[in-house]
Amino acid sequence: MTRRTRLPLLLLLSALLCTTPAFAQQLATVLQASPLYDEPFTDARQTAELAARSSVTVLSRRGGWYQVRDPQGQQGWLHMSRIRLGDASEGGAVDASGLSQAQRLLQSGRAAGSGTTVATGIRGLDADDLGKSRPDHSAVERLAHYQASSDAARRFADAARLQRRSISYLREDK
Amino acid sequence: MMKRATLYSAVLLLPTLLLSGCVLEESLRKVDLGETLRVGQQAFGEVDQKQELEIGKEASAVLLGAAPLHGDTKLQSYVNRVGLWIAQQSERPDLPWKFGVIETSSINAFAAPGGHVFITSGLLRLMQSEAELAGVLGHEIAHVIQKHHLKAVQQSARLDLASMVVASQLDEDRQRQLERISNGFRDLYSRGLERDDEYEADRMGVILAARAGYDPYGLPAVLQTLGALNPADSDLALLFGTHPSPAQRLSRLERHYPQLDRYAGQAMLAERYRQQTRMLN
Repeated sequence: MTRRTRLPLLLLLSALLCTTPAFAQQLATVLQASPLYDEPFTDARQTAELAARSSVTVLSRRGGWYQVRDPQGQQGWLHMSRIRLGDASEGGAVDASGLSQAQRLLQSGRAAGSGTTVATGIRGLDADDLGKSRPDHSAVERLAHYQASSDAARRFADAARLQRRSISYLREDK
Repeated sequence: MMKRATLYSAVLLLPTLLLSGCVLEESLRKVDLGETLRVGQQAFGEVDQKQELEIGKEASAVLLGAAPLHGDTKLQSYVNRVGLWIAQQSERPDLPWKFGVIETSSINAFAAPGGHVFITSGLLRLMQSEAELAGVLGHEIAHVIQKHHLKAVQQSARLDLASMVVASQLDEDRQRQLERISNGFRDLYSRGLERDDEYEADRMGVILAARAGYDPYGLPAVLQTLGALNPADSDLALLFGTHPSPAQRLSRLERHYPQLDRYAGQAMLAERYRQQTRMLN
């Protein structure tokens, strides 16, 4: 493979590996006036300026950057520190699973916020359930069946080319 | 002058007190010195690893008594392989780490002493990549490494865990002791840890994920997702009632973003995550 063909391939590969698409049109609010970049880097070209409190649609994420579309249809990248997911005007209107109430009822037999369950549905887990919990020791024993060996964990990491690195913990700044 | 006077009176008093043991005992009881010492020892009594494991099993039994393990073996072993790989980048790689997916619509994750980590299927369904899973597991692994739960239960329930788990020979006694431990964890999981413990676990969690080769922005991305949800949703009640808000946690982490940016190009593994968790959809 020539050097010339290798680079675009690598770029394509890294874009595939390092981006999450499929945000179902998640709205987000810009925290402070921020430039929109055409690539997820601070030294990339600035394509627009987004006003504080403006609303954008999030399309994907790569590392600390969200790819967004502004109301004028302009696309670009914003650092995560400049944005909060959710529609500020609604104060977060999406249901916890990101599903509509109807979908949710179909899937789990449970309406959000109702706190009620039906026999076949998946139950919630709250402080009340913990209070009434009868400790299940056999379930704890079952955990051992699923336990991974050191080898299995390493092979699984290798399969995704995960590289171990030595990094110090972040220090709390007072 | 005052000090010397106090010393003289103590020296004068001492033989009197020694002559009468019950007087000494009586005076100690008045200042409650005995109680103070006992509580002090309990709070700082060291629990060895074997005891920590046994305590962790009791704590886990409380959680799994409240909601069951998910029945899908592939899903469970996926979370175990990812989790163990991250735990091996920690300061306690040799704990018998066990991970479990709890089947519940609630959105949460839990840690228990001795290397037990749980994540709910509700939270797994919200996440978009293995890097996000790594960030959440890293946060819980940090709680275990720092023994946040052990310390909290010892202090709040005033349990002398170290001496309690040293097997008392009588089954009845032992049963009572285990119940006290269960109740301590029941309260702790309902009430939550100290906020500073949560912030510390966030700071450590992003680094553990990065050490394991993942994009460290997975945890902040999950917090962003959580912050966009309706906080009145009952599936968030326990999580939001026991943790600082996602916005508070994000603003603490944001200070460290410049350090995280060095590793931001690491793996997100969105596709592998979708494949491995598809049974949840």
